Amino acid sequence: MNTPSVELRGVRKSFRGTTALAGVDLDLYPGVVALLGPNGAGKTTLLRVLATVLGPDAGAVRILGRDPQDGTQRTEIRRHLGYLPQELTYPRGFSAYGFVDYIAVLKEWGDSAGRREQVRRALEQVGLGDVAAKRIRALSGGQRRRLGLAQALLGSPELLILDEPTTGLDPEQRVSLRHVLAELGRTATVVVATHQTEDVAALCERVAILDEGAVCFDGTVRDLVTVAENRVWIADEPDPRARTSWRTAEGRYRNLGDAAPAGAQIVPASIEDAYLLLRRTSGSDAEVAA
Amino acid sequence: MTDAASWHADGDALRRWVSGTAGSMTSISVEQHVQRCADCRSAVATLVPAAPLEQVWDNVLADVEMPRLGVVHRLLRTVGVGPSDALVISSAVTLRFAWLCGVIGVLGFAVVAQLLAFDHVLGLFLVAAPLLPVAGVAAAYGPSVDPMYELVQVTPYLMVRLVLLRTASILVTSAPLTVAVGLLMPAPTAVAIIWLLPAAGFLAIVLTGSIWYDPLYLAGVVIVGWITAVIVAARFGHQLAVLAPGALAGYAGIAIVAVAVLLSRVIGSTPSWRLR
Repeated sequence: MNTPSVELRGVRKSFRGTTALAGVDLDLYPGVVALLGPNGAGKTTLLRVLATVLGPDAGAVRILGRDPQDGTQRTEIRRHLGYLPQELTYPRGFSAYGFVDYIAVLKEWGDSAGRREQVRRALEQVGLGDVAAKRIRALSGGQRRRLGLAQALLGSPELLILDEPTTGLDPEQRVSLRHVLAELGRTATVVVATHQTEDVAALCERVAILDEGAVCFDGTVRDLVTVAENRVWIADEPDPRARTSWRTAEGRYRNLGDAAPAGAQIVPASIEDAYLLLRRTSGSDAEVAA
Repeated sequence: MTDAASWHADGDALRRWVSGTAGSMTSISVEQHVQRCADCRSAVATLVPAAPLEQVWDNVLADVEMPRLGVVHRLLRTVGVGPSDALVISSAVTLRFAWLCGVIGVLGFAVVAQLLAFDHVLGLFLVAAPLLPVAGVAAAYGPSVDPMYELVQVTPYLMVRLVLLRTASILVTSAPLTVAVGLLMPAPTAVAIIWLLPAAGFLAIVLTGSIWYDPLYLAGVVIVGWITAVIVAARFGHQLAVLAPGALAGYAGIAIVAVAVLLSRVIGSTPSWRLR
């Protein structure tokens, strides 16, 4: 395998005594990678370290073959970086075009013709070409989220870091976004933190699960699903032998456990099943879907 | 108007009309005919090269989409600021708030000064003048006040450049105004000028300190410290002691050290990723 785009070794980060990252080891390669984990698992902190917003308290970070601790190398990393933070507050008074244009200037697109082409391309990519002249405050929530994505896509970045990019998007927009990200993932490393397991199934080649500041799973989507194989069964009642169970839309109970009991009606596992089992294995309280 | 026509313009006439090389009579004739004849309009469509049409559409889009350049942007361009820098300064929404506060502060001071005795006016000026630029800079950038701070931080545009551009744009507006107010006071002319030295020291502390800390907190510390110093000096009957030669040398020293630290951090690598 080639040199990884991102190498993390023993990365630790704390905020006022609270540990956000407790020794993360992770290598990332071109392709779309999902970062899964419960709220407070350290996903956003990890993404901020990857985006060079934060430096680690301890451990080694290499991004796109460069050391982000060094000022010059960090600037070089930022030239090839696209970043969508979890929460993006837009300044008042900007139009959609004006906002992306401003970020394009900060991304060193000084030449106005080239910049305009980049801005137009990014807006078209996220389906906002028709509302480019609109004020941001007149855009819907989904359009604002896509506007955030547009600025991240400027300049075809080699490393794209997206913190919950599909939040607020309708199903059609999500499918469209998956196409864009899948296309980018052919050459770039796209890291997507998400709670949407269907996005992971449809888009990502690889999954890393973060729990309590550490990586508790790192592998392909297929490997992840394998974790839950023969451990998911359907019954008419919640099974006391299951680690967790919930009522399905059909009125039956989906049970997850260490192993399905003899004679149980085993069903194919999903990413969500595997995720919940891994979380339970790591000793945390799983949020069970109702 | 009808789409039916009993005759059609020949291809050569249409080509010359499209290229603008047909004579005036031919042009008028073809133009009249094309308006009525759908077939010839279709023929014209095939003769018009796509590229110029795209160019026209592109220009229309550009006119519609491109944000109108504001007064600040145009002013900056007029005084020779580059287009990118002008956009970076004029797009900083936080600056507008800082400018507004600065102007209100100076005007408020001018009004209050008319109502107070000289000693009080001088005291007020000593308190306010060196702090105005610091407050303006603190209100213009930093994670607490800039909604786009994190997004801007991860662009390759140097944070130091951005901060210095914003600082400079605040200074060129606030400093001359404050000097003008100082000159209008019935106090020694030097007082109207030398406040710039503590102001420079405080500004350097906030700028350099923002490598590690939020500039808003730093400005708070500086403001409280300076007000305390002026009050203490006034209590002992030496209001101008804060501008005594020894104190001025101290401010200059602070400014020099802070700028040196800032430069060393900017030029070399820094473990903190806040400012660069």
